Amino acid sequence: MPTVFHPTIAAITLRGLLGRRRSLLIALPPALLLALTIGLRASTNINSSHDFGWPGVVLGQIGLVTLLPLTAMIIGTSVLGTEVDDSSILHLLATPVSRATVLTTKWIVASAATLVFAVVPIAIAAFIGTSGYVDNPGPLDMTFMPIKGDASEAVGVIVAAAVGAVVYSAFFLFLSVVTKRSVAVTLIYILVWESLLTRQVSGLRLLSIGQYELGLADQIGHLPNLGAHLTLGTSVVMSVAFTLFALIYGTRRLQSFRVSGEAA
Amino acid sequence: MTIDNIPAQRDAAAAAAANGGPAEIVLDNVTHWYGNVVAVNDITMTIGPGVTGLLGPNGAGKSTLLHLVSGFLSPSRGTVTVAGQRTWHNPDIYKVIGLVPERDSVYAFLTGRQFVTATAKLHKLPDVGAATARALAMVEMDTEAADRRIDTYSKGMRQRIKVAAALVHEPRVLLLDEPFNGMDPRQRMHMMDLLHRLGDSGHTIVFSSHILEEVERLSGTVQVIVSGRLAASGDYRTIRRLMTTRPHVFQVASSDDRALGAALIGRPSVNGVELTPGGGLEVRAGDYGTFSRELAAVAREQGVRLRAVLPADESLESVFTYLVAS
Repeated sequence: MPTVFHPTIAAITLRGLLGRRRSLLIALPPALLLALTIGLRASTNINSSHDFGWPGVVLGQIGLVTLLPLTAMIIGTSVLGTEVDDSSILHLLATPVSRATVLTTKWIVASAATLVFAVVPIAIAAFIGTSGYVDNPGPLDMTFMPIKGDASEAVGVIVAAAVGAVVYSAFFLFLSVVTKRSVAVTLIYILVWESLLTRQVSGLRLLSIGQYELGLADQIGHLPNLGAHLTLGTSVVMSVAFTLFALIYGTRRLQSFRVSGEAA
Repeated sequence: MTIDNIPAQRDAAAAAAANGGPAEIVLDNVTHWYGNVVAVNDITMTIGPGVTGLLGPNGAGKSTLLHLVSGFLSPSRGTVTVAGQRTWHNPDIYKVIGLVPERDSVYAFLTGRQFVTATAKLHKLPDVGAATARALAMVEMDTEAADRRIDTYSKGMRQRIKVAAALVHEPRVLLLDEPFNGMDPRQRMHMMDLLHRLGDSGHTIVFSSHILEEVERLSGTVQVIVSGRLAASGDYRTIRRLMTTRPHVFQVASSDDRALGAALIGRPSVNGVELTPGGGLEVRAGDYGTFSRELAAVAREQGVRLRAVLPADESLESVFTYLVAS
């Protein structure tokens, strides 16, 4: 039975991740989210029902569906994709360590880094965006459901973000193993599949990690305007299935890792 | 200097013996193709302890062959084993194999010592510190350079640190893909010396190169790959002698070149004789063995004293040129 975590691989992966120049990009999306949240919170008029609509949109469509996958993409493709591209992965693979251990260790590192760089900022934004409201701000136009202003809405977003970090990391690692163009493929997944197609074609939402997150956030915290379409059960089952598929099939592909050779 | 004088090599030799003794690489009817292109075509060979050079022009299939042996490519047909174990889908094979890839990519953000130490830990060696120190000493990197980041290294130093990492677990088989790329002459000499000693101590060393001089200096045994096929195998001087369809060229100097030449041209074993401008004869002989025996007899019959007899085309370059041309 291979071990799930190898500290030496984790240390090399983490140093490689944080030492690369592209890792500076990791900090950019969370900074934008926090700036946007603080700005909107400061300008919120608690007596206007319209002003209660933005936290769900910002935390859901920007935080969970855009910031989180972009951060997970930068991290996920860095921890394995770059090593595959430049063949430095050979130095790890030419050892008796099981390929499953290599993949799961990198998945744990990628998930942890995504938690730090995306989920923590989303959590801060969630608390800023949903707390401090009065229970009854006055007459409301019922187009929008007012937020409750308690912690449950923020908790729903945070749980969803944490689950998303784990599932996205597994999926993007899998893509790093199966394609040499992992950055391009992950961008297409985020910008075309999740942001475009799954919004237009309801049947595709079953294959969207972003929709699983929105489903979790909605069912746990009931924050309005998240744009969720899936139930809690579906979101949980599909998150687990997606992660297991990515890790198992990714391991199988890593076990059959081939050096791209010269042709005669 | 013998291997017993160098603690690091002596330890490696002892470890190789302790790890199960010499290991053979066996390829049995191995073919590998990329799409429609056949990169390695039905190669059967056995490589034992000592230093063996994989020689061939660029694109001949040398790297493909090394990747097949190192378990990073699967044979499309045939089998590859090292020390009796298959190499594909078998991570345990890396207890036996050390691999030095051609590409320069290493974890450049680590120091040389950290890189070798990490490799030792991945191999779960009992004494990581001692193994790292021994490996660094073997490649003469046990200096302050070992504590510098690899991205500050020259290409030659990167090659040496890759070799140290490949040797840290004292493998019985060491595979090196174009190991001398980027090394300066002194580093090449040292690396050749190291590989020689490892080969002499019972390790199976296989390296690929397209530079004839490197192979000629490092290894008498060659596997010549041309267009994916094994064109020749063995000691290159023996290979040359077996190439009977090519006349063997000798430079002969004697006390009377003209008389000796006239007598030699009448012999069936001699295809041609030419007086060379600077003195001496160039003799093309069809049969190496017969000519070698007859030359002395002819000289004696003619009363001519032989001053020098040198095979002029027994170099690896000649062998390689003939094989590629055919």
